[in-house]
Amino acid sequence: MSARSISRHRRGTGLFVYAVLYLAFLYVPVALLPLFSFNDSLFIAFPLSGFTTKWYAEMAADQAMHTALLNTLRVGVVASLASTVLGLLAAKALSHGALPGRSLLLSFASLPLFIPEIVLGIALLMLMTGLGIPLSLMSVIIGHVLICLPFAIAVLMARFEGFDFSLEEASRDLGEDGWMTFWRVTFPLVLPGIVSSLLLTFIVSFDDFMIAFFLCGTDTTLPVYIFGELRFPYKLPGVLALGATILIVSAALVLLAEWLRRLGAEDAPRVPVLAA
Amino acid sequence: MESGDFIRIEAVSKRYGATLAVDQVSLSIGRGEFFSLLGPSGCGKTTLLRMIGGFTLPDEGSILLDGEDVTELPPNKRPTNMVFQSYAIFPHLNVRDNIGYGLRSEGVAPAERDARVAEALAMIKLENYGERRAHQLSGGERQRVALARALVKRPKVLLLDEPLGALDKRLREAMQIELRELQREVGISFVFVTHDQEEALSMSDRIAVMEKGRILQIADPKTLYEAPNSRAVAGFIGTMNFFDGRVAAIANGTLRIDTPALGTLEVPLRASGVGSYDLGKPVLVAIRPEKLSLSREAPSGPSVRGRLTAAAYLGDRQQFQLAVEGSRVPVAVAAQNARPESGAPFAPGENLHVSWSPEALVLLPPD
Repeated sequence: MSARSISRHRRGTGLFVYAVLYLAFLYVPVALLPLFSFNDSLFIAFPLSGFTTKWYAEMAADQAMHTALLNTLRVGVVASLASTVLGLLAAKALSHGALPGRSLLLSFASLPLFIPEIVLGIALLMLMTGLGIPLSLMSVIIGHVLICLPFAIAVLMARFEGFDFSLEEASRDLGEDGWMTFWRVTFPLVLPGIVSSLLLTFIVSFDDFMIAFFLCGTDTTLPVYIFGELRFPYKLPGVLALGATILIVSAALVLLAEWLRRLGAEDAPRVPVLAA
Repeated sequence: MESGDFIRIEAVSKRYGATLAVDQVSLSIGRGEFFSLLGPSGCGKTTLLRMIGGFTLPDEGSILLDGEDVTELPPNKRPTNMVFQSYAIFPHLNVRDNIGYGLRSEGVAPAERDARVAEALAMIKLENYGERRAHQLSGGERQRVALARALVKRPKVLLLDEPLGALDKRLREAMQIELRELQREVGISFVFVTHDQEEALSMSDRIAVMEKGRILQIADPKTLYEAPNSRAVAGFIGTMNFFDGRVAAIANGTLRIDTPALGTLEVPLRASGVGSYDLGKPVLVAIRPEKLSLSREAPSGPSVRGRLTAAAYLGDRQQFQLAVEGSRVPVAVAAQNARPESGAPFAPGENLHVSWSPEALVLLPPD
């Protein structure tokens, strides 16, 4: 074995260790959550004392948690639907290259991504109280549509990328009006993008603590409820069980969204390259 | 073939920002006519086609179709159908549903719809392709599906936006013949946009040559080629030699023109030529390369001498370039290889006679 291949071999091992550490950094903290949720002890510390599912049973029996979960689901469904519809309209308009001021509009549409949520939360709180809108799930939904929209636009713009708008013209030419053209051509073609936008915005809404914390009033959502529960040490394992459950469901949804996006990308309509 | 003004375009203009894409265009297209809009890219031909189809509204002027003013009608309310440059085959539908797409909005009963789709599939000779998706079709097949999808609507006019541009040369030539046959069969007006002058010549009943939003000339292919009305048209359709000249005398239906390159020419006046010639005024003399011939010995008719600078053998024909005194650009000569070559081929550097028959000369207004 030459010196050169040894060094190459060593570099390979080094890279492997680096990659393992990298993944550990990303996933060990998250893995602790399900681990301790099955631990038969009130204290979050090693060594583990025994396997139990009682924290899950406790969580399942918690009425206040059920209300908070239901609130979160309601907010998530409405906010994801609203932001996806609004995002679809914006993405379609922004994908037409001819739109004047396109890049400026695009920057404005994605700006909420870069405003700290605490700032947004305070601003929205001031606005709601200023306008006399009572703090409720409705105000949370309004806030969530705001933070979800940039995600919806980004996902849907990617779907409209390279969309051959002459397909819509062909539909008009063949006798359909704008509305029917949308349902018969545009909608089926961007459907994978719509589904993945719905899933993604739902998760953004579901995960949000900051906006909901400022705007929910007495209608707590799940993250706000969990935050409140952390005041009581004996509730901590139950929160871990809840956290572990949310983690699994979120991960499944994200994977589903990504899978749908890729599935759609394969037969996405593209403008054929013309040998002019 | 032509029966009156089936499509009438009256003083139509379209402006995009500072550029006039279509500038006061007026023309008429007959019923059942194969009409081509020919010009370089950006000449306004596609904009004009899209205005006939309803995709672009003109700023001024009006468009009449079979006596009805359709200027403001949206595409779905017009008796026109379009074959798009990209074909725009719906990727989420199979061939059968693509072709039947436009029949659903018409409220055609399912049974009749199926029959018409089957008929259309037979017309384009893709009977077994009904279940295929767009990505399983070749370029030529897509083109036919786009054609069938439009024709199944039984439009009064079919609009075609460079439909052969994406095909390779051999397929393009086959499709030219097929399209022309199809047009004769269905008997409706075709408005065909192309930048390919050969394509326009081989298929059209009449051609409108466009440049910078204006129409330069509307004529049948033969007239356009043999009697262009301007340097622009003559230069765009095929190759043309141009010579500066001056009218020296007018007598007995013949013009005598002095040219620095070809000497004094006797040109018979033709009805199709440009209207007025004034004594002493400059005029442009044009002649096609294939109407010039080369020889080593002095011919009996009019001729000049030139030095051969380039010769290219193209299989069916040969192209030559000669330096002729008095002409700024080399003179192009084309010869068909109709007979087996006799004697030594012309070699660059040789001095040759270039001759022509006076009837082949075309007079054009000077630039």
